[in-house]
Amino acid sequence: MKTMTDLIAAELGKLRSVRTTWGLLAAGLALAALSVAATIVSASQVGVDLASADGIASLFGGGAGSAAVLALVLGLLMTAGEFRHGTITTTLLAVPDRRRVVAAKVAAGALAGAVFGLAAALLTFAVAVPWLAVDGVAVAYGSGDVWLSVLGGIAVTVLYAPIGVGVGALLPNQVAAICASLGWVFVLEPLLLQFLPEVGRWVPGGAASALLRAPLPELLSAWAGGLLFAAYAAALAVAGAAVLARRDVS
Amino acid sequence: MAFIAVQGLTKRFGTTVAVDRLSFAVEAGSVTGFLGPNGSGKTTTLRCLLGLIRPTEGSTTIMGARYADLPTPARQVGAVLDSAGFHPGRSARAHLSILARQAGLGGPRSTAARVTALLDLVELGEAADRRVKGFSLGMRQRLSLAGALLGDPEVLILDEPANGLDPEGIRWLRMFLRGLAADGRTVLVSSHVLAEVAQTVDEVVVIGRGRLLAQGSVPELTGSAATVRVRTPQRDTLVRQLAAAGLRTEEQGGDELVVTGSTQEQVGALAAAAGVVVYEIGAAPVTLEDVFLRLTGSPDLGTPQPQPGGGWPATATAPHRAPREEGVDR
Repeated sequence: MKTMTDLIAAELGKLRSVRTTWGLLAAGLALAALSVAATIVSASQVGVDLASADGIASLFGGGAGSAAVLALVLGLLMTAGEFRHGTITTTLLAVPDRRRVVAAKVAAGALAGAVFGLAAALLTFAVAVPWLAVDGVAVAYGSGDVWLSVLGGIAVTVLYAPIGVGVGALLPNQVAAICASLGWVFVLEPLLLQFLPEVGRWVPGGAASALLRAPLPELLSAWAGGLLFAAYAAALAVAGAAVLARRDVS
Repeated sequence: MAFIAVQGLTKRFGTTVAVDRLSFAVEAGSVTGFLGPNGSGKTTTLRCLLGLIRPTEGSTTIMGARYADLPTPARQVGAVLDSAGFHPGRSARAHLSILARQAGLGGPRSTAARVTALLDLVELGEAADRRVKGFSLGMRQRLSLAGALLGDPEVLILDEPANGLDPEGIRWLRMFLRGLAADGRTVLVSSHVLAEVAQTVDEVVVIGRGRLLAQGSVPELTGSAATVRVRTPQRDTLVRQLAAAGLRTEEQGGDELVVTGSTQEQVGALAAAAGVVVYEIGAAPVTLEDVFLRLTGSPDLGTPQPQPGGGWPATATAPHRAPREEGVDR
């Protein structure tokens, strides 16, 4: 009898056994390093104090959350990719209960997201701490601002993977799923946050920005944003499972 | 005991009817060929059987249970489906190891020996650690077979396993299927080419346009359609002799003659009795087209026309004669 542990282990095995996963992780780390460097370099020019709460959130939250979009893509590939390569047939033959399939993918995706987030957070510290020391910026590393920002970044990365799993199950065309998701995250949400913040703060990206303590106007509190973002992840995963359960797989 | 039972199965995709009130049963330990032209609903039927497609009406069971209700399906049923793919970046070994874990057959350590043994069985031992990206169609098909056998299932369901294989691959597959049958497994194998499965199967189920046309043994199916090909310089003499024995003949080009509804033994004996010189005699292969012609009166596989009172053996199921509807294979 297969247990949930088997299913999650199998999903992690799928991720580990292909290069794409490691490529996404590498891209996430590159983005983290880039984000930290860009934030520090631009801070002096735009006059942001990196030791302030906003400065810390931009630097440490932004750095730790750099891999979030890559976790989203990973989640999309976990479901839509199975349709793309036809492995969904094999998966559903082994596990006819499709809700369990999605649940295992959500769990494995969240674990992979945690690895992405932790790696990005560690790299953020590895780049930022010596750089700030050289620049003579005294950041209170023991302060809640730093740790809550970093935890927010990791949490956003963890939760984006199940969102990807859910969206990929709803939209099994891999290319369409990736294009739609990235368009949403990089175009639509930033526009909403910029020009319609009273709407933007309620969309997933707004909730994630709140969790990251991003210095944007009219965001929810970090806790409310975190709860809303988690609710989005749960709702999309449940919707994805419900749609997959009814879909004819041919 | 019916190991596989399809009862009143109907599947509509929008307005097209892919499978139309189809019922048949497969007995334990038998090898059954599931025959029909492309687009006749074979794949849809098998996918319903495996819980991948939701039937519009009717039911399908394997060992008395719906596929979805089997506790560990991989231990009971192995399936090779056309569209089942592989991640191109994963090695053959990783694919099987992950599949074993997913199917609840055990972790990588406990299944490693089984995975290696299966890779050797399907002759992929050398390629085990290469990425599937570089695999030929035949290698992929064999990897599919290895996956289907992971849980040592009693039932195997194979959808057009010979598709895209070269002659050597088809020969290999035929031997492999015989081996599975010799193990006492129940096998349901679909094909649109009768010759592919004729030598391997005990029973055949023939469908056209989503409907059952016939179920019976291969001799029952092909018997009345069997033909013998003869080459003789005294063709007219032989034709008269065969006509006297009540056999229909058809003159081909040169010195060739085709005799319908007879055996090589009978034609040979009649030729000898008439003192006719024979250069060559052999059984002409019966094709699914021939069988369809017998069953439906139409050689057009895509549009079989039900023919009342066709000369089909009494043991076979009578063809359905409901109004024709569009069928499509999905």
